[in-house]
Amino acid sequence: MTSIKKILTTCVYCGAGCGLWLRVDNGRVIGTTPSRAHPVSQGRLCLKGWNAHQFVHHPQRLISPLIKRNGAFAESTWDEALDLIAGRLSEIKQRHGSDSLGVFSSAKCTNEENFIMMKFARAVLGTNNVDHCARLCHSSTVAGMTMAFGSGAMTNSITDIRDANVILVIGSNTTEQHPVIAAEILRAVDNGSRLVIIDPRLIRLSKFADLHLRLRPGTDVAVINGLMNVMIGEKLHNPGFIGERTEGFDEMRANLQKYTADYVEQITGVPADDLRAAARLYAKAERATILYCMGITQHTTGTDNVLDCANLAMLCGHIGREGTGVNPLRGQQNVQGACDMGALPDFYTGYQRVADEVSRQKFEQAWSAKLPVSIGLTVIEMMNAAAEREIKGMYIMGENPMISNPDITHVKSALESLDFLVVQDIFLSETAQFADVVLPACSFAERNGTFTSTERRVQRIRKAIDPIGASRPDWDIICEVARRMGYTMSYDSAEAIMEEVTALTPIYGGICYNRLDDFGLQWPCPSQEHPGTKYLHKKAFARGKGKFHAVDYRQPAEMPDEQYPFILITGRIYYHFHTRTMTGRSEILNREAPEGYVEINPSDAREMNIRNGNKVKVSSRRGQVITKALVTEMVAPKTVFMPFNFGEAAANMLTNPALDPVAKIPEYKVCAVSVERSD
Amino acid sequence: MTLAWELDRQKLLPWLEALGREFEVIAPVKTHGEVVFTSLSDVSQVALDYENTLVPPKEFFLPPTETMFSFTTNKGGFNIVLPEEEDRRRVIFGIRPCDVTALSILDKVFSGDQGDEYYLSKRERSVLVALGCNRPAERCFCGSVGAGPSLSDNFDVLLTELDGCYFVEVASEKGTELIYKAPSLFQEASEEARKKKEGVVEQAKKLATRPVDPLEMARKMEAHFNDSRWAQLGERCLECGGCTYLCPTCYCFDVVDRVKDGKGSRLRCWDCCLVPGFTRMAGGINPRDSAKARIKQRFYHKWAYFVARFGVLQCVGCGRCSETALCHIDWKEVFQSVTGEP
Repeated sequence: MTSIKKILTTCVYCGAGCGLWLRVDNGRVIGTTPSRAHPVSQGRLCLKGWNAHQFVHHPQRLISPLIKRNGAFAESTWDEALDLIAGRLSEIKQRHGSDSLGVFSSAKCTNEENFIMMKFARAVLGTNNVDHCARLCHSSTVAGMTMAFGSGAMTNSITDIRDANVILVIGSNTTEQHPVIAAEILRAVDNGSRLVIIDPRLIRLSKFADLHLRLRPGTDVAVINGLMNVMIGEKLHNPGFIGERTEGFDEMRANLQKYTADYVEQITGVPADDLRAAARLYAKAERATILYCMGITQHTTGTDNVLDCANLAMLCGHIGREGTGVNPLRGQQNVQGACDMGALPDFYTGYQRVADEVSRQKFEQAWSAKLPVSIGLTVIEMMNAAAEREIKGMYIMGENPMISNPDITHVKSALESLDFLVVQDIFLSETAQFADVVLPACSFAERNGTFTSTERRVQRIRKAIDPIGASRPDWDIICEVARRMGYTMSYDSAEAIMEEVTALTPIYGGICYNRLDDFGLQWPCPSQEHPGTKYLHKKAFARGKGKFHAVDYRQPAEMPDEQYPFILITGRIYYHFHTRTMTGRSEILNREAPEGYVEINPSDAREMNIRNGNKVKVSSRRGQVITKALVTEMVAPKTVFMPFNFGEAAANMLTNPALDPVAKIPEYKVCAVSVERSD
Repeated sequence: MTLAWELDRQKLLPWLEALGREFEVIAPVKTHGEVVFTSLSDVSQVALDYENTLVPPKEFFLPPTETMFSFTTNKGGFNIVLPEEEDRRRVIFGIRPCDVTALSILDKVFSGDQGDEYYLSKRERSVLVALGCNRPAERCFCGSVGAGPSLSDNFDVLLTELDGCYFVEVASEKGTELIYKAPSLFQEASEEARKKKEGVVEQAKKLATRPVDPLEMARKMEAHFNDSRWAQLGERCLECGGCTYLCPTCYCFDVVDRVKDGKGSRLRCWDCCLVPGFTRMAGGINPRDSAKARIKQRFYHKWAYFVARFGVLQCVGCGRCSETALCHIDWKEVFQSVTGEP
């Protein structure tokens, strides 16, 4: 008899992909400790990671299927719930057509589950209306980097950061959202690397920076164009690299002419001398890396911002080598994997296009099903279509749009308009309240599978305990619904699903469980013999030549005016993950940040007679929120910041659903609000 | 002089096997590239040559989460049900001297006027078999705080590796019991072996410096109270909590109630003094409201306040804090700069 076990698995709290051990005593998960040998965690975790086990046995876990009867949920058997779902989805499909159905897959679920969900949408429901919340965080990365380089993923690896002489962090509050990556930055700085921060807020990392360019929110393109203007003017760029490895340089260069340091200062508020100094640091470095996050992506200019980061790296040849690159830090633990698995309306696995007939035929043949041709709707578009009654049935797995989508009032009316909603989750989320049927899924501690981290590392999660209550792994549930809708999806394990992924997906061609045993493999990994790829674009870009794109500064969709004089930035905080379904039920984490707040600059606070802790009303054209004031220099005057994690003070009541035209990502980072005392 | 035996290397596993028939044996096992303590199902899994584990054996006495009791509510109040007491005795094999010392420090905390039964009952039913540390790691400073690399008292069984055998010392009744579970495996220690063992310990001690006197350390800390260093360290701290979670002598826990439908349980779970919520009071007032105040408190608690209360340092120089901290604060370096060691 053994009573104490330790199971190696992967953290669920960000894209860094730390390895951790779950301590299991007599079938209960009671602790988390870091893996010492794991290349990313290296014996370290952040506070969220240390507490990753806390929600697993929470009494609010869903332990039985629930069916809404007369407005209230009642427990049901699996058979009853699954039959009901299969019946209703079939009925809607038959009466209104496949495209009246839509599916939210999940960056919190495994690769195997995302694969099964997208297969279910396409082969069973017959629609490409499948998307997930990558739409809301890094869809502009996937779009922009694919255009520039031919691949939408982080080019380098996390441990590469220590090889960089200059680290440029733009739009990433790394110590809060990717603390273990921030630790790598700190280590590099301790060893002499130079650090440049571009961020409107006075983030913690800026204390360690050589330069902090504190731009006005939404002016990233102007700053980056300004940096490149200085570099070219001072001949600091890399003509050799540009000539050999890239195309489109002349058009971009012509476009840069007007972005002189002084002009950029007017737009961005960044002092011209700081801009020049930053340009020199980055361009002259032997190896420089760009790390960015949602400060870049969540704008109506998100794709442009990403393209400009790519421009900057190519201009100096800081890509295709260790310690360089353009490195989007992915937020959720498997958001990279959910994209890789084709939980997207326009891609199958491995970024094989739905629009490409050869790819489509390959999947049709493999799945013995006729697959839909037209590209599906995105997360935001599906909500709009639901409000318009074009989408009538939805299946949401492990997502919580009632907190995470912009303009929640609109989301609410969309969910209420649906004829039928299934939500599959581990807790009764804000979104699940609107469901007709709620299905209980297993948590990460109760199932096997793989996550793909921000550095393209495909790694295992391992079952440490038996499922809680009647919960089941997400993939198993979906296969059951499919079977009841007349399509057989039969797998005896998550591993068997990965075998199908591998067969259909060139970049995952060499991924199999026995090769992932310790700390996984980084894709592209096309064959069983391939060792995986630490950094991309070594000798050539994935698309052949890297492509420069001329992009111009455009201001955010909604700017402050007399009625709404402040810019609202939204973002995340250290203690919470996404919509708090898990961290809100982890006592230590929730104690640290039990409620939402709004950061207000001291000068603005003085003017409005607002003191720390006062209740304030924040209003935008879309709604209003009462929350607490946190008076701090973190934000510049006339700018406020709210974490989006909190349902009670939901920042997304206020945000602007205006979309980037290419990636369809909403502008979470800038909208106009008013602030007033409310007591 | 402690009782001593010799145990041939080949006889170690048979001994563990014999112990396993009666005890739950928890031992270091190599898996996924590192050595971790876990219940042993097969004695051949045991790792014998390893740098100290990242997680200290504190986890077996003060687990990361522990159910204190469960309860149901009714009109009159509560019905409280204590958790079923585990009665199987445990042997924790392979624990390093610094961690044995750490447990003797925790004993002081948990066995005060109001003994902590959760902790004490686990101590009571556990026997520690320590394995002397012949090669302290770079980050270790157990010698400077007098917690290693060997032990002279306060242990059950201590093994010191010699050529081909272990020198086995026993300093408690519980320890003696373990030897007598398989007495034929042991032979009385020869004088030669005893000398060899002393040589090995001397050699290991050379790698560490002379222990500092705890009172002297506390006095030295006083002189540093207003250093600018604490603000600098505070600025670095990323509030990961690792230094407290992995500290073999940190014992702070949070108590939470989880209730649903009139039933619930009271849990205690590892807590951490580096995060603001640890000291935040009702109404939002926080006596340690800066990272500087929090990190300074932690250093002073370890090296000064605990000494004032218990007469010993609350630090065994294992260096885990430095290894696990996201901010890379080097506790050994701070220690040396306070004591003036080179």
